[in-house]
Amino acid sequence: MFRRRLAAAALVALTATLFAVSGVASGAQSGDQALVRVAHFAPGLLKGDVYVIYVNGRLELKGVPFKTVSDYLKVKPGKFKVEVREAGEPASSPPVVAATVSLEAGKAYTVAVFGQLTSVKAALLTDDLSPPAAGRSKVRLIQAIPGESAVDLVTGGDVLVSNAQFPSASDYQEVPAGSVDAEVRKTGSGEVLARADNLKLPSGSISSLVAVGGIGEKPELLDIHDAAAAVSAGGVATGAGGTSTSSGPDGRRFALLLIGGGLVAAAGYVVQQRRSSG
Amino acid sequence: MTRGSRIRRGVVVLSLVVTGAAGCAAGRPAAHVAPPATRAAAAPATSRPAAPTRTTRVIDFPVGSWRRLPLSPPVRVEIPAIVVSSPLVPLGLNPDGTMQVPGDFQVAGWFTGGPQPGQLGPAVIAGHVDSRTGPAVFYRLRDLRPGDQIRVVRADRLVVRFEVESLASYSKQALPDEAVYGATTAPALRLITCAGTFDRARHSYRDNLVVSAVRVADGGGRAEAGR
Repeated sequence: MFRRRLAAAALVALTATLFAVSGVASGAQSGDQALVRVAHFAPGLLKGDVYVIYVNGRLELKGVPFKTVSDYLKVKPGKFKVEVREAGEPASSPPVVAATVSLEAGKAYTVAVFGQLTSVKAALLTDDLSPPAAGRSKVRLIQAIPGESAVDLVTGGDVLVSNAQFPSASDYQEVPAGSVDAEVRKTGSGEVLARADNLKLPSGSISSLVAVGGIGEKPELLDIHDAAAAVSAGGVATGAGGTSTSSGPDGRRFALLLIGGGLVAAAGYVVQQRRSSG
Repeated sequence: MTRGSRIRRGVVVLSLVVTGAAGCAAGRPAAHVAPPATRAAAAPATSRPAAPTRTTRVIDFPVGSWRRLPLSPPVRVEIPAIVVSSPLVPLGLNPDGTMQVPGDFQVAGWFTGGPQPGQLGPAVIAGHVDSRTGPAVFYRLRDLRPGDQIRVVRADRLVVRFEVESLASYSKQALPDEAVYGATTAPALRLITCAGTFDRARHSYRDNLVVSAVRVADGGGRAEAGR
């Protein structure tokens, strides 16, 4: 599996457009809405290293520290202005990064903040949350170590993603579910930058492995669980019809039983009445 | 017709499983369920002295939403709004790829082909709507409304709380994967039972009722998201 195709990390520009944003991402991925979240992969920021996120000028997410992702926000599809400020900075201050992104219905996205100090940039990543095949797991590599020109992701001794440039995200790759040892290596020299032993990739899980680090930061491999699915098992046979009112051979028999029972009860009642009056 | 179905079982119910006896589930290709990943005793020693130490950080939930829980299988489901309190039996797959269903009509089951309740993804709990003679454990599932609470008790006694988001009925023959089994970005819960017309010839209800719920955020609401 030497797929080198790296999904284009579309670097986005600074503009302003307005659209409505609605509630928070729920359990289900609804087809008529888009999901978007923000990831903080840029080390070396001075003030506390925590971001707050504005969407269309409104504070939507408070406190996204370095090496974390926010919740997914559920939004109506369209264009959004996403602004990232350092925590504590007023809403009127110039943002660290600002991006206008165009989001499609039924899709999920990550606005990832890459870089360090003076060269911070945002990229819009598409998160393909379609479930993997049964017994398998989906993994991609996000290369977020500034200064490291290219890295490889090695899982279980095999190169899963090669020559990942900064900043970028690979396509998701399907791998067998289970535990695996993973390494991020420098492309060419093979120097191990970060390692994850016994990485858990449950069946149905969709994960982003993120190589992060930079000035004054030890390279690290983040294992971000983007989403998870269950094994598809179709319709479920959870009823035997005992409370059903539908007709049919059994239904008719049931109705006859009811009528019969009613007659017996009525007869009993009549007998009772006669006895008590007699 | 009796109302309600508050039936408690004090004893541990044997996980008898009806393998397609009602024969009404849509046929699906057989699928393999991977066993849960086991924790290795120790990290293997590295032959590369220059290699960095283990530096992985796992983020299974975004910042400020749900607390991370260790794995522990669910043992009981409680739905106060419809007076349900049932032990949970594990449900695997039948040879034809459909989900097993509980052998006891008054007991619900947890589908082991999905995540544990509280973990990322759609946890699935199935229960019968009725037996051949009367209401079963999930008879009143149809009465649930958005906002109703569901509690799942785990083997380690921790309780995971969910809140109902929606109810929907689908034909069993065309049950959309994404409504039940599809990937979610939150720890979700699906309660499933039968609904619709009972097909006497097939001994099966035509539809499945699916209740979708999402885990209640820790610390009182999703305080970190939105205002």
